[in-house]
Amino acid sequence: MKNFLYIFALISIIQAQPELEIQNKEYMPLHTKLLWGDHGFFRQINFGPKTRKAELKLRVKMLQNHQKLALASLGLLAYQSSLGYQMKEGDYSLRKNHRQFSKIAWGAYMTSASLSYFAPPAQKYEKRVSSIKLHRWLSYVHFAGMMAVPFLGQNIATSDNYDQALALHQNVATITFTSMSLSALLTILPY
Amino acid sequence: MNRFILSLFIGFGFSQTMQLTTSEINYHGSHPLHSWIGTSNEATGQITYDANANTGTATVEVALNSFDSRISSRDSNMLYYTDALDYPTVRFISTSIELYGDSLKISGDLSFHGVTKNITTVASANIDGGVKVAGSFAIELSDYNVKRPTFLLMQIANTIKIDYAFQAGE
Repeated sequence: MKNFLYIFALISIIQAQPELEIQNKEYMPLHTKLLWGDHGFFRQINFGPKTRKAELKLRVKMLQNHQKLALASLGLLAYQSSLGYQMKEGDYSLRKNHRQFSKIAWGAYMTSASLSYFAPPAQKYEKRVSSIKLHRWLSYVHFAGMMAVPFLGQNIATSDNYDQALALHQNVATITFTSMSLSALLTILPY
Repeated sequence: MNRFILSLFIGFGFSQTMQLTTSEINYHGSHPLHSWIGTSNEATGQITYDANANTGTATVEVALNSFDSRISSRDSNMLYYTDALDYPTVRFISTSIELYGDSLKISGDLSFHGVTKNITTVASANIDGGVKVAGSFAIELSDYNVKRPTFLLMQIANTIKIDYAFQAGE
């Protein structure tokens, strides 16, 4: 009788396994949709892993490296910020350092951002707002800031209005650093 | 309670099979920086009771992609680390159910990530509007060969606590 019950139980759970499709594709971020959506750019040029499993593996690797590089970028930006404030106080000997580190910080940041923006799609998306969604929305702010800050920095030397150009560079850099810090903090929230 | 459950089954005959009508399974994950709960309400299965032998079986199956931790990228990571494309479900098939008053001691085989391990869980049971069973147990991810994800260079905890509540009826 016991064996019969086991067989009955086993038969009842042997069903066709549902294929794991991406859930709620419609809520995929626009940049991911443009690159990895059904008609996305990478699909059109047949670029990227051949299986969904390999895509997920690549995604996880890219996001793990994104985390590490983003932390490094945040540290470099904090250092840059410190150099910038000292220069504002009159220590122009730091100009060379500020300039050199800006390239390293910018490169690290852009690599980190690329690893996130170009990562293959997740397995699941959702409509509701979560800390990770806020993290992504804030990334649009600091990404725009990081694009602008180097040009605004160069503009200080050539601008007719030094004070205004310096204030603009400093304000945009502060907004960028603050939004990036907030973005990092959001990732440690549970929901 | 034992007598009540017995009479319930005897009333229906020799052996009675009831399908799960509602379910809630929560897994509790933790990391040095935060903890979270993933919930599924989509478990399927049944409870079969053999009145003559005073024993029964329970089978429960739940799809990994039905768990919602309220952050979809975390759910997606969970599906990756559990190889949900190859092993999309978690299954439990009981091997013994013992009744102790209002409690059940349930032992059985838990199949997860292609590994089957015997687990034991103690559950409370009541028959208010159907058979309701609720309990908890814990598993070690390493026992099931699940690689632990890292976040900010730190791994999540190896122990995952699971609690469940099922209601079964005809």
